[in-house]
Amino acid sequence: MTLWVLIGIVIKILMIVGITQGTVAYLILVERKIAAYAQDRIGPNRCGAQFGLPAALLQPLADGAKMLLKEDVVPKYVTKPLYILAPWIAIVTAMIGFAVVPFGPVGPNQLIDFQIAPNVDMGLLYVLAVGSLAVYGVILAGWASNNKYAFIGGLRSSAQLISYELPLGMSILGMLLLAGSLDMNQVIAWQSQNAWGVLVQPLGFILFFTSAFAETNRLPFDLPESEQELVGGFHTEYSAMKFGMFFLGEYLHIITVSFITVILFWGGWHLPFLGLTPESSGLIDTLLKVGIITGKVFLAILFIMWIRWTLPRFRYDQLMDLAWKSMIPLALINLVATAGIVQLVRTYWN
Amino acid sequence: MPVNALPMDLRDFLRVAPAVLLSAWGLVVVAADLARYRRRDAESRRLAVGRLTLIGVGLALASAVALFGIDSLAQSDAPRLDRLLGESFASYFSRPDGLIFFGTLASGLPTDVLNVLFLTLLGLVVWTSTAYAFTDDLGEYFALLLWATVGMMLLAASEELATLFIALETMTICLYLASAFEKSKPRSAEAGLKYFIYGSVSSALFLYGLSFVYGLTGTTYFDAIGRVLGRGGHEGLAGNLVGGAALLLMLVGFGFKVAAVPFHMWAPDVYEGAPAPVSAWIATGSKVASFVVMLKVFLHALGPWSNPSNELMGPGWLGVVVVLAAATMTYGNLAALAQRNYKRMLAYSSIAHAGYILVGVAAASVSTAGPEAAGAVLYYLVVYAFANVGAFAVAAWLARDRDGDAIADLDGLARTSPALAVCIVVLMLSLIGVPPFAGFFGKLAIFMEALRQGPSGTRIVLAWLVALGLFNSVVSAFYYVRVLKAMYLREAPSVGGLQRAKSAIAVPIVVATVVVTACGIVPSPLMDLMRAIARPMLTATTLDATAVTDATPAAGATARPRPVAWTTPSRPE
Amino acid sequence: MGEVVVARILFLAIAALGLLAALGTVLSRNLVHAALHLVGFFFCVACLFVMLEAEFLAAVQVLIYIGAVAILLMFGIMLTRNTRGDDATSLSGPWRLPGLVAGLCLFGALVFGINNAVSPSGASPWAGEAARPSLVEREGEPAWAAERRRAVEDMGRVVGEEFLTRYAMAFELAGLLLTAALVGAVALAHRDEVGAAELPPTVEALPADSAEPVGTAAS
Repeated sequence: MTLWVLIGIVIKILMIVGITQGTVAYLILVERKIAAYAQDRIGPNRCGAQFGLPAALLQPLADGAKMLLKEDVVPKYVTKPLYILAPWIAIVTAMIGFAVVPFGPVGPNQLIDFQIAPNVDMGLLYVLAVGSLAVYGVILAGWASNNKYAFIGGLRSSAQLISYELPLGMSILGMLLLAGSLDMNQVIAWQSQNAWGVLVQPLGFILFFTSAFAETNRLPFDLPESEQELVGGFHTEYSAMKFGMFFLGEYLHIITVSFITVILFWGGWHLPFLGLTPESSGLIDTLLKVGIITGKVFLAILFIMWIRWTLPRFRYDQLMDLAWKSMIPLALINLVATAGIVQLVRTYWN
Repeated sequence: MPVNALPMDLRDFLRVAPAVLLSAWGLVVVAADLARYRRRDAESRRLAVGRLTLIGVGLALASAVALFGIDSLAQSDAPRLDRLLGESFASYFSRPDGLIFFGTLASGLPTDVLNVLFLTLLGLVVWTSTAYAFTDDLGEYFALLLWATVGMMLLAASEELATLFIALETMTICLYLASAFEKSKPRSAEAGLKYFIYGSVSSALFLYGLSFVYGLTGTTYFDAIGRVLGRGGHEGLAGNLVGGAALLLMLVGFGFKVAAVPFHMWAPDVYEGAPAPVSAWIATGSKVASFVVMLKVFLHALGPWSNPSNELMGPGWLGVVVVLAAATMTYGNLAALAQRNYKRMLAYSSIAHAGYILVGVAAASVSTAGPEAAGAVLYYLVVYAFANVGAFAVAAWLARDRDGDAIADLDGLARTSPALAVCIVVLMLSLIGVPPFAGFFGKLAIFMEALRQGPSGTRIVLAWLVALGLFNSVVSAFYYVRVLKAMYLREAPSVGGLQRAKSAIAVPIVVATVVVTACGIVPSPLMDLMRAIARPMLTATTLDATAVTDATPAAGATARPRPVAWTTPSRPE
Repeated sequence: MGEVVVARILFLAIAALGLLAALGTVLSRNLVHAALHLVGFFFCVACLFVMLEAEFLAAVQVLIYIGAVAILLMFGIMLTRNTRGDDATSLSGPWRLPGLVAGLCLFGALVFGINNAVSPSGASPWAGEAARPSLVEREGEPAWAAERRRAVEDMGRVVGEEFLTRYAMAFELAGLLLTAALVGAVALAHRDEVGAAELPPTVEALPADSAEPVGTAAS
């Protein structure tokens, strides 16, 4: 019995790793296409044309091959152990966050638990904890590279990530108060019975989404790597697959963040008028739930990419001002107001 | 999901009103300094912020006095309290256990008296702080003083190890920061850094000791620890290395806070480097609070480990404390003899006084008077604190006019300010322990408790310790008299001598003098009060704890009102 | 019994790693390496929490100690110039031996003492082995087992309840402590601009010995 559970978990892990890596490869293509669209270019359109495939569908293969086959340069002046460790930290912290993310329905009466570690009662805390580790990849890469640009990138990123972790953590507290649990499945269940998080916690959603940009080092908060000033920032000295791992880590992070956004604020697998409940467990319902959640995640990712080509980069002091002088106070206000409302409702409604 | 939290009585917050007021007032001071006073010139800004701080201290003092009134009324005249406050409040205040927040904090007469003491001393220290300019960050400085006091008040009131530790850290961290506030002087930064490094190491060791005590007894409540340890079966610490290690680690923590030898190294440098009012607050407030909580921990929680086999050097902490006391007072006094610097001299003198007080701690655990013997220590603490606040006000005076703190800077003070010179004489005499001033009665009471022993079978001879204490008092006269010599027998410098003291310096000196004189001429009211509060302070028991422990000895470690933690059961035989 | 053996091996492995990390923290000359070893140690502690079925504490440990405290530490170290360490950063010669002896004595006392701990009568001995109660509800289990199960399954809630009732004052005091530390640290670190109110300081105007934060760390 336990053996089968173990094998099931291993299969789930392998599947998720495979799917996410594949997704990342295509996300890069999507990003390039969106960039081209935003800049009124065509973008990649060759790879795959030989086989009659449209829109450069084989481009990810070419990219991957390039990453793998290029020479892996390790400069002489780097601190070697840390230099090699950093990309691994980046990718591992991005991967293990998936352990508690539900990809679909989870529960005792479901066909499959779409979650590697189901029923972790503090799933969100785990995601935050693992997310807070990601900064080590960046800061170590910057320090170990022994290069001014990389070092400034690492310092900027550590300051930025510490600052934005606060609003990120505080903005979801309102939603947790409403749902009364740190378990993401319960948060989805609450939303399916009441209302989507984005409707009841609009401020929380905006704060969360904004800090998510900063946490994933995306424009307009990509100061740790800003190409124009820092020649790529913390990963200036990295080449070939090591650089590819940072790249992979960044996109994995985007996927995680999108999942959390969808689960906390966009109702998870819930869509109005479809009649899906936490208990519904038929094959069609299950497929529908998985489809809805992945569809929403895809939308969120597209939105993040769209923002990248819409907003310019912040100046560093503006970045800090935004976090400490606007977002943290707003998150506190949101938290206190939500707590007050929850208390009032509990006292006078039921 | 249902929330099944413990039923909380929100009125508990009323009983910590002084602490709450002070915490909030700290923020008010910071904000007001930033918003209103920063634009003024230095002199008037200092006075304005100081006045604002004093208002807060006054409010807190008023609330503490009001609580004192209510609590003493609840004991003496309950029906009248009924009429004054109404039925429910009156019954709340006259609850016999005197514990709030589920037994984590003490409340009632002992806490009220100590709060009044802390707030009075704080008022004097704040007033002294307005005497001269040593920092530009006035709002932050005064706020840190207030917050340190919050830590002291809650430290003295804590009845549980976790609360104790957090209160201790609040107090000391505020003081670390405050001692580095004189930014123009490198030695102030040195003082802050030294205090911080020594302090954090000793806190870590202390916490380590606390964790062993928790591991051994399964509880963090003083009362429950005492109960578990007192259940017998073993002879105190005999063969209990973990217990011994825990005890020593805790002694390191307390020893650092009260500056007992050999954990005193920081004291002279910090006292000398920190601004005079901060030194005053480290020497008085933090020492009083630390000694109060040390009394509670050692006499109440670890009482059964004191002298289990009725021998001085038996398996208990008595011997260690006695050795510490002897070393501390001797070293402090001998080292003070060599000092030419007024603040350094006071530092060593305060080390010596910590030694006398440690004698009191040891005496309180063997005296036949029981917990009331700790009243002598409390009396000594009050007298010592007032005398030292006055003495450090003199240091502020030196810093203001001479920008130094050598004893020689006091030359000829008797000619320029004869009245204050007399006051200083009184303070020094009280610190030596000359009758009829209060310092004498403090020492007398402590030594009497050390000698008050039962019949010969259970007697622990502390007479040599008392003799050592007396000898030390004589030694201490030499360096205190050096101050008097400078004031009376030397000529004042023709230029740059001490100017006239303004109220910021004169008031603390005069108040301290009045207190030590009054308590010396009529010692019994204060002594009786301290003896009266010592018993409830050292025997506070949660109401249902006895029921829990006595009914189920096997689950005895869960001696809490309603256990949320659990203990693994004894191994099935 | 198999589970017990596995658990013991796991514990020993984690503890050994933790010990190594702690030693690395103390012995590293390079401050960045020391900080990284400290991170490793924090991580081992988090693993021990997991072994004690306190997943909530483990997550909090990672979130706060590794994610915030250690990062701030690294940040601070990287902003200072001398990360390589020198003779001043280690214990000086004459005190090395006494320090070592004292540490070993404490270690010996604790090892011996914990192994032969004399617990007060009524409490369970430390040296014994007690099976943890099941996390699955059983018939006829004692009341504390149910209590424990509730705490393990919903530790976040239980910790929160304790913070807001029994330890309400200590919790508030911790908040005050952090505020005080913040206010004091800002006041101490704040440098008054002397006469610089009119002009922004240029690079030349900075004193020669002011810290140069960038890139000099590892030259």
